Amino acid sequence: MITLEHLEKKYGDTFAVRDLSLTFPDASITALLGPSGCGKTTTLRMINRLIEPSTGRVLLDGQDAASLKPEALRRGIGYVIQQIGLFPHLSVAQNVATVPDLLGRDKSQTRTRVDELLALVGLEPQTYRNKRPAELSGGQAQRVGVARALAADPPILLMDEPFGALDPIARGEVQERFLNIQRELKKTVVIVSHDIDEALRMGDYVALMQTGELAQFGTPDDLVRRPASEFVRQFLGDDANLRQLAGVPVRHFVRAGDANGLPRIEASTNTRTALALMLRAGSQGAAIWDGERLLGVVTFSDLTRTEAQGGVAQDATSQDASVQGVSQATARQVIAEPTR
Amino acid sequence: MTAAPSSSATPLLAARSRRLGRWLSALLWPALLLLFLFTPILPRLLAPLSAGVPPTTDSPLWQLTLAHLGLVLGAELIVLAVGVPLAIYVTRPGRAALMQLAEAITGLGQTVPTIAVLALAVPALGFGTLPTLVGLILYGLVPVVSNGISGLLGVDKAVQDAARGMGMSNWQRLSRIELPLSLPVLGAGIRTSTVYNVGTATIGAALGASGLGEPIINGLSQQNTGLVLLGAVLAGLLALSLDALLGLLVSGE
Repeated sequence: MITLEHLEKKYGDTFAVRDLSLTFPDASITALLGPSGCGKTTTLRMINRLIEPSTGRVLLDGQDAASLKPEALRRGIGYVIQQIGLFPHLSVAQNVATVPDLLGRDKSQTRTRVDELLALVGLEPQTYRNKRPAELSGGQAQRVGVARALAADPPILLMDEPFGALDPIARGEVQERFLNIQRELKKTVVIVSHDIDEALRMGDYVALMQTGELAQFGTPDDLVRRPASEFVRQFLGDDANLRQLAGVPVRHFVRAGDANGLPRIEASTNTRTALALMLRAGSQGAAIWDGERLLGVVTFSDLTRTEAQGGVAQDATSQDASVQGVSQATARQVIAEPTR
Repeated sequence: MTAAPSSSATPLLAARSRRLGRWLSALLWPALLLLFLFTPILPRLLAPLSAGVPPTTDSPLWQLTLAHLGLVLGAELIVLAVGVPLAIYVTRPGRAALMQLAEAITGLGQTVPTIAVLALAVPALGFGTLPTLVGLILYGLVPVVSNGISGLLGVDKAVQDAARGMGMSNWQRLSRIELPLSLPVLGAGIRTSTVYNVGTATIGAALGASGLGEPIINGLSQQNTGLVLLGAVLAGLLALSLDALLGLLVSGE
């Protein structure tokens, strides 16, 4: 658990971050969202002390980060940045092995670990292990970046706009893959993002910042449906609900019902697209199919209940083990309160 | 049937023959230099320019070349010992002013004529090898320091940020990331510095240092073109040899 206590960073007379108190819950992804210059990256970099706070404290599982040597602290925290920053003169395997090597871990164990991680991020170890970063595409390079951050199995992962430099298709793929990895590894993840869609899609929680201060902390649902201020409402935009729906496959809203005469929609379609298809077909509902299997129906009114989807959505997903995206929404059970 | 294995081996073979080619062409100049040093071919070739008599020197040519090489390499070692730490020192964070000063001074060094540096060294240090060495060091520092600085500054900021974020100490970042990544640029500076100094060192003969400048200076005073060329051709071949060998070394294959 990462706790920020009255954290501040001042440059001259201006505050980059001001009196920020916030807890990032364990084993979940918290998106630090906000317009550029709101202090989200500064906040992230104060957690691993790439920037030293002016006042306030960062507590990691209760321990003051300032009490550790910065190098030791950073070796225990995974770090992923937008520009990826792979070491161009080292092979993919050497890049991934960076932190285990710094920690003096056993070489042969590290080799095995590197192969595991490459496989985890979807890069065939045999093919990619000895490649140079210059031989990788952007999406592949960032997957290596994620593998490198995970190499020493740190409990915490800090990601600064990790998918921001990728093209939309690669971004979607890497995001999806990362969510799958996170479901398995359950790290405490902080993702800095200025991309509302990304924050709503990836975050179990979202901390929205405005000019160095916390505007709202809560689940994506909280921010979309119960904005704490005019700023939050405006920042998320009038189509916030649609943005949120875009991050969820339509299968999560499926319930039993009469599918007769309804337009057919594939279960993996994102819900915003499904809604658009229903509008185009001029229909109040749709039949949701998983390949050749009819799962059930979805209607307009079902889509207004993003929080109340629990039972049905879980049943729908548990029927099919091969489901790609296990409900994000069901992972967001608790509404955590900021500590301020 | 037989084509399949050979086609899969082709890239490897191509890489190997490319490497072999580079080695062979790099060894061409040293081979020619050795040929001229240990056979009387070159003086005979130059005889027509020296009134039909093959030009001769007091010391054997290989001795002059060795003295020349010693002067250049000795200076270069000191250049590296001073220049590389200097480039590292001024590129650490918070030393921007110092770095600009270092760049200005080395830049100034580039604009001052070589002969002036050597001439200034004589009143301070007298005649002989020492003023030549000092001149070579001062002149040789220029490309090493300026390339060292631009090489270190050229290391991708994102790469440095990642290295810091992974928990590398300052020393680990320098030795594992910054120096290896700046090596190509720094290496080019070392190469330039060495090659320039082979030429510069010939002027050292005027200050009383031994080397391939000796036949050049003597040839000029005796109006013996063949003798001048004897020193000049050998110095040129020495420069080309060092350039080729350092090129192999820096490109790391």
